[in-house]
Amino acid sequence: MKLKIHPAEPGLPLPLFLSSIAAGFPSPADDYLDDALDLNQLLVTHPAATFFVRVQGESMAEANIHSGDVLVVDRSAEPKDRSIVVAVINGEFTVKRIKKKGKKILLLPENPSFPPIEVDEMADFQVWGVVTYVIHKAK
Amino acid sequence: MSEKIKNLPAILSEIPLKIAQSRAKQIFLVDCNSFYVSCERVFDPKLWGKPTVVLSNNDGCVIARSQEAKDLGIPMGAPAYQYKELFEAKSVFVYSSNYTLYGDLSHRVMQVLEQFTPQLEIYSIDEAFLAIETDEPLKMAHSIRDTVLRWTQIPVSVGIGPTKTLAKVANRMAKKGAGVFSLETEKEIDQTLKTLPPDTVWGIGRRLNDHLTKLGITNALQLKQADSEWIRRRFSTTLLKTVLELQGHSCLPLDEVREKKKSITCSRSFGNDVTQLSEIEEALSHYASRVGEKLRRQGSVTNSLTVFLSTSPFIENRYGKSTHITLAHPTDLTPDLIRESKRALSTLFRKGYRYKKVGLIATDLTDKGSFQRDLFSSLSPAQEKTMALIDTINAKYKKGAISFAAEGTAKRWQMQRQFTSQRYTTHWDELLTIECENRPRTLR
Repeated sequence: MKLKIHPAEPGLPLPLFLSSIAAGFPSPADDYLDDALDLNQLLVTHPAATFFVRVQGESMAEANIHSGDVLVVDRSAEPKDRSIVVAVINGEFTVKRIKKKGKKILLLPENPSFPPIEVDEMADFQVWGVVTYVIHKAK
Repeated sequence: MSEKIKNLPAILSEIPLKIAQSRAKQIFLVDCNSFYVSCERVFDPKLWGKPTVVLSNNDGCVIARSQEAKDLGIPMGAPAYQYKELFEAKSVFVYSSNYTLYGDLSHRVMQVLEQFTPQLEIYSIDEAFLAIETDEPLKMAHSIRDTVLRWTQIPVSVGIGPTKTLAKVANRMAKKGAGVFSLETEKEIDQTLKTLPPDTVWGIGRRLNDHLTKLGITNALQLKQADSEWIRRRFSTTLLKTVLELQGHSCLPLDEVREKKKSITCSRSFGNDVTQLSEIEEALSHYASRVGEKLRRQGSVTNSLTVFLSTSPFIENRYGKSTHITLAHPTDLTPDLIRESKRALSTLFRKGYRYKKVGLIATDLTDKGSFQRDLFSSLSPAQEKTMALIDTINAKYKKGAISFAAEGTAKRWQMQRQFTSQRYTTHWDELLTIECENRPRTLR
């Protein structure tokens, strides 16, 4: 079955000029004009499936996720081994790094002296989306 | 299928038809399940599996229910105050409508659907028709369902048929069953139609249903098998199209362009009863402003206005009146709409009543480009430029960044919305916040 993908184009359209600028001379750059850089192009692959969430607490600090950070979460991405994901455990949201063990998923605690927790099929656990970028304000 | 084409009655030449050939595109109707509730559930897993309802503007009545809420016997349109005790007793989760969130999630669902075909007609906030050519329609339907759920957390049902009307029938079966349903063969179609009364078919209401039943048509199969000429003469071309659609002849092409609205309404119920004319005028001016924006956005002008004012219909000292005025000049300008609607309001307002609702409807719209200006027209190029500028500023910053003084600033009359969830996808300060604790929670 062949799917034709029509890429959605989100964007912050930043026009190069708001009105025509009379430069007084033909600019050598005229033929090379490009659109300005757009963060959406960098951070968002599938706009329909991408959500932003904020983090509170420092337990994921070892993964470079700090309190107050904004996470870019892609629900269309396949959770891979060692992905950081937003998950729902027992009806509550959490952010965790997962480890894939065959068909099972392990949750990695941030403290290396604790063993990973295995998620079995009976558990109330679901991956909500994969964290693709962390937006952290430099302090 | 080609035999059917030869036997079509002559009158069909009067109606533009797209005759379905074998292996042509199938129509898929994708419909979100309990859409508003599903939207609330995206960001709130504690709602999963729990009875949940969403209330209309002003928290008046129930406009969406989860399956669990339906199972509790809460009907659509249930007045919230009447069911308050039941909600508390059964721990029903209650939300005020969060259209900002619903609109954004709807847009995302449609974006996902667009990836399956460019031939997409967005029919409503939670329904869309798709035309797809495929050898495996059920497999495609499952793929659509799975992708929408994965990407947006919104569950949908998919019905497939050779025409829109049949796709709607299939969707109804899908909702009751496995979430997907395909009507492909004549046999499948007939078997299904036999089990459905006429008013389950798209476009047929209670009255028409009763009329048909009296004439011996008690199910949708009998309707499909009715003589076309008889249907057209006895009823209307509209019903004829429905019958032909049931027969597999596509009469309703996918409308990929949103049609311009034929009338524009803006009205709300007041949060608190209002007794002063000045407050009602403020609210009405605000609604006139919104109507103006919508007119300009779709490139229409209005030739007349209906203004209405009423108290609650449930109280003893009831009052409700409306008036219709024809404008001297067709207009899309807010100052005109404010002035004219206030003039109409002055004929409706009576002292001593506790008003609950005011609104206006711009009826009789015409295309802006086509109307004739007369010598005394109030639209000056300067006014038009100003309105366009105001619209741009309001769109860029926020609605109402620039408003007319007549709209007032205190706005006591605004809606009650006690149970709104956050606008998780459109406001940076209303994002979902997740706690990252020090220890991972233990799993059962």
